[in-house]
Order: sequence, then structure tokens, then C-alpha cells
Amino acid sequence: MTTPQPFDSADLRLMWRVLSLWVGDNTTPPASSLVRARLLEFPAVSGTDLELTAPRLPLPLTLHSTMGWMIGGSLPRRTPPVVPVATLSVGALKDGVVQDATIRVAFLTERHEEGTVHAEGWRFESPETPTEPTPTVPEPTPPAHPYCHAQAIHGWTRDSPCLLHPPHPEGEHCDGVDHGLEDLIDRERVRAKLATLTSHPAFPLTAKTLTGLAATVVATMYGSQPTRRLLGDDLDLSRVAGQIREDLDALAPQA
Amino acid sequence: MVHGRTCGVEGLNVAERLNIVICDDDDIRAEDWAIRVREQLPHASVQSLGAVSFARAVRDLKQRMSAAKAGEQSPHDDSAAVVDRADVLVLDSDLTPDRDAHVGDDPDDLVGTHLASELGAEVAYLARAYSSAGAIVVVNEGAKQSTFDLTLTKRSDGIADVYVTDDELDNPGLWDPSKADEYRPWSWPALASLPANIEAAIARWKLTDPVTKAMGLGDFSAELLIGQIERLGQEDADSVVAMTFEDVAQSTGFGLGLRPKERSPDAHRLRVAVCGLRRWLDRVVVPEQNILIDLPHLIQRNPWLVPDRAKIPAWDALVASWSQADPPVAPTAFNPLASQLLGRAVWNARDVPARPAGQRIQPTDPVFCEDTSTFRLLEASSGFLSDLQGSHARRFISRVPGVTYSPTARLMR
Repeated sequence: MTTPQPFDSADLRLMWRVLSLWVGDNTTPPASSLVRARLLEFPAVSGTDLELTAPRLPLPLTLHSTMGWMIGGSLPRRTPPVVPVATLSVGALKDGVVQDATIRVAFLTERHEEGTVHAEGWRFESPETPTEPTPTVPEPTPPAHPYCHAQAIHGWTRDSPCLLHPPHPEGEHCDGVDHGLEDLIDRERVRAKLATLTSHPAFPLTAKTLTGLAATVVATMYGSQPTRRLLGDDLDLSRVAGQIREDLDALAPQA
Repeated sequence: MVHGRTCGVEGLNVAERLNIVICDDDDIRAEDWAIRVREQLPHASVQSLGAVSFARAVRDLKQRMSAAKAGEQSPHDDSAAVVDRADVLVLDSDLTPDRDAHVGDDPDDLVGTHLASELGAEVAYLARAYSSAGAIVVVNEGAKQSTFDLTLTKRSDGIADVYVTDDELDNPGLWDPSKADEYRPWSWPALASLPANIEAAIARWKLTDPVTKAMGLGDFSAELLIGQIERLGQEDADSVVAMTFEDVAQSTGFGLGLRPKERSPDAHRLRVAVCGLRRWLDRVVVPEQNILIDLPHLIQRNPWLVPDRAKIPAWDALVASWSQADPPVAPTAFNPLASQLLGRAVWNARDVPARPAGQRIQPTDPVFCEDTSTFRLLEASSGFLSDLQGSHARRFISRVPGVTYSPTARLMR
């Protein structure tokens, strides 16, 4: 029996499986009309497409620019509801190994008193690799985060309209504040946002595989029990062995 | 005729003679099919109905329909009586004769009038609604050579009990699953015993009986998926649970939209309802595994139920038994009433025992291949995404050489 190895094509295929189960599980539209209106600007990818089409896409790829955004179910026990919206970047396949992957998630919620949508962002990344030697730095630099890790993001303008605040033109730096409502800006909050550090801290994750990274994203949002319910009965995921099995068991241990 | 047969036949050694009637617009093809079926069922009476006789029978079925819709009752000792006597009625899909078709002597142009431009599906409707035929088979609808439908839903609204291709008609596994060779889709019924199952259900139930009683389930409204409700032509789950057999006969989903004032005998309406309910359960309810679950999918999800679990032949041996009365696993969840109606063993999903502590699915547990009705290790099978609703749309196949699998876009990478 062939056991998938971390970051190989079998691992990649199972990562798509996790993401399709997550997206496919969401059949309830967001409760907030403001968030619903915001999401209309971002076409959603279906669980079926993640299952059937995404694995056939050539690498490297950025999901939202090829197929759409992953929109998940509201986070539990949050009022007002918090809706996760995610995209995925996957690097090239080299010698049968995916070079890198990042899942970016924005958590959208309605800020009712301002009549706007508030967002917080996080990225979940694969291990950094040593930098390539350059003429000025001939020795490869060891990576700061040689493990899967999560970091905050406060803006999102690369390759797309800003998911967090549409008034920002594409490509313009985003500080995470909706400047379209200049008169209503909470200056204290602006200062707090500017203090948000996006490179540190970088929280190490237990995942060592792409599948584990995707499952980690799910677990951070919904917790262990819902993650086990979502992934535990899956025909493929329940039968996988090796490091992927260890990653999944660490998040959602079987009773 | 199976009506006189002991109902609730167990196992697949059919002692009494099945009466199989094969109908086509081409006499030579019909006789070829009859010869091939006789080889599989040497004890059965297999008759190929010539094109002219077939056209006469279709004419009289249409007359029965007209009489029923006018609120009149028509005699049933007409030319369609041959259809009434069929335990298994086999119909070609395309009934327009080819230029070189052998039609026989037809001075009244019955074939041209009553068969040309008809489809087997349309005749199947007439036979189901206005005769007492047993199981109905349509051949070559949509494909003429073995094609496995990866959506698992393409023919699920069809009125025939099974759709096969020319080369599948004499597949031994179609008639008796215990004789399956290699290709034997799990969706096929056990065709040789299906007529007896239908008759047993007709003998047991009345038009006024609620279908929940026939399914032995009680109130399952909370578990119904939207597609399961809509496919039965109902507005909501409560109306499904409240249905009687009469309602099924009248429904536009798996009934035939029979109008109450149609003067079909009660026995015909009940037959329509029983067959429609059976098809709805078999094609829409059981595959979703949310209310009823059949044996291979039950043990695939609960492998700790399999004795000698480490050996794949043990899994295959469990599934090879099509007994509807003797559950090999999880007896407390077994549903004998629904099993007898369906002709395959099923369990109540809500009553399946919870996973015992310490038990889990192992990488060495096989998956069920829908095309061969056997188990294989995950890496020796190919995954596909069907069109089934619910959480179990993901299925597997072994990929038998010579069989077309369509649409290929549904195959997992």
C-alpha cells in the first residue's frame, strides 16, 4: 500500500478533499445582509468544483483568480455571525513535491452600528524554505519558520479587490480600515490596527502535510468535534496512513 | 405466472417458471435476446413477441389508457393480456423499425401505427399503468453497449425497474447476483426474484395503507433531504410521511399521475404504487444512506461489523448474500419490511450502532466498487463524484475493461 508523503501529489489531492468537504458542508447563507451583500462581489467556488476540477488545475495556482473564493459556514457561537472567506495559493510541483502553499482566510462580520463589514485576516502557510543564494548573500539563509505556521494579515490587495475593504483600489496598500467612512473612523481603532503585526508572532502549527494544513484551518474555525464530524467519516481521509493520519489525529482524535 | 407463486421467496433459486416476454420492433433481434436469456434461465419461459403482436399489444394498452381516462373500464382479455402475464417484460428502447428490420407480415400496418416513433419508455409507462406486468426492463436507452453511469442518477426517474444494454441482457449477474462474473453494477436489482418481491408487497398492502408502515420506519420526516421530497412530487417532508399507497399512485414523481377518477382496478393502482415506492426507495432513498442504508455501504462505514475484517473475501462474502430476512450484521437496526419491498437487505440508518470505543476505520479497510459489487483496497479502485445528495456522493469503481464509464469528468484525479 502506498502511503502519501508530505507535500506530494497524493497529499495535494487530499488537501482538496478537505477543502471541498468544508465548503460543501456550508449550505446556510450568511445571516447578515451586509455580509451577504459584500460576498456577492466574490464568486464562490463549490465543493464539487474543489473535488473534481481543482485537482486538475496546473500549478502554481491562486484559487480565487481561477475558480473563486471558498466561503465556509459561520463560526459557532458568535454573535453577530462571523463568516470565513478563504483563498489558496499553491506553488509549483518540483520533483513531485509541492513547493509551498498558503491558505488566506478573512473573517467577515457586520459592524451594525457603523453599517459596515468588519474583517480580520489570517494566513496559514507551509514551512518556509531556505532562501536561494544571491551574489550578495552567497549562503542560503535558514528560514525563520521552517514549519507550518499562522500569521495575522490586516490587508489583502494582492491580485484581487480588497476583500476586507472594497473602497481601496486594487493594489493600494490597505491598513484594514474602511476609509470610505472618514467621518466615522474610530481613531483609536486605527492606531490599534496599525499596531497589528503581520510577520510576528508566527504561530507554529502541528501540521506537517498539506492535508493537515487544510484540516488545521478547519479546526481553528470550528474546533475538534465538528472537524472530526466533517472529516472523520470521509472514505479517503479515514483510510489514509502515515503523516497525514498523524496530522488529522492530532486535530480530531478518535474517542 | 408469478401471481400463483409463494410470496416472499428467499434466495435466488427460483423454482417456478418465470414468464419473460421480450418485445422489439425487430423479430430477429427479439428472438436473439430470447435465446440469450434462455441460456441464463433454462427453467424460465422466455417468449419473444413478434413486432406485429407487440404492436397489437401496444394498441390495446393505449385503448385501456383511453378507457381509464374516460372513466370507463375496459376488458383485459385483449391483445395486451400477454403483457399482463409477463413476470418480466423486456422492451427495446427505440421501437421505430430500421429499414432492414424484420417485422413480419403486417397488412394493417400495426407496426407503423403503434410502434414507429414510440420509445420503450413510453410503452413501459403504458405497461406499468395499465397492465399487471411484473418487472419491466428497457434495453438500449441512451447507450447500446455497457456503460456505467457515474452520476448514479441518470435513469433514476425512469419508470422501468432496470435499464440495461444489449450486451448486458444476458449478464448472469443481472438475473442472479450470486452468479455475477465481473461487471455487475450494485444498482441492478436481482431481476429474477424481483417479480416475487413485487407480488409479495401487493399481497401485503392496501391502497389506503400509509407508506411509512410499508417501510417500517415511523416518522422519518426530519431526515428527508430536499431532493428526496421533490422527486416524489411532494411539497415538504410531512406530506411524504403522510402519503398512502393511493397517493403514490397519483403522484407525478414515482407514481404515474393517475387521476382519482381514472377507473383503473385497485389492483393496478396498487401495483403502480408498490413499484413506484420501490423505485423511489431504491434509487433516491437508499443511495443517500440517510434513512435506509444497504449492506455494502453499511459495512464500508462501519468496518468493525465485518467478521474476519482483514480479509477482503470476507467482505465480498457478506455482500453476496441477498437475503432479505436474515441480517448478517447489526440485527437491531435491520429493516425487514423495507428489505422485502426492495428485494435487497437494508438497515435503518438511525438505528445503526454507534462506533464502539477504540474502533476506527483502518487504511487496510477496503471500499465498495459500485460497478462490480465487490470490495477493493482504496488504492486499487478509482473514485468518482456522483450526483447523489447528502454526504455520500463519493463512490468507487474498479474499472472493468470493455465497459464505458461516463461522464469522465466525474472521475476523481
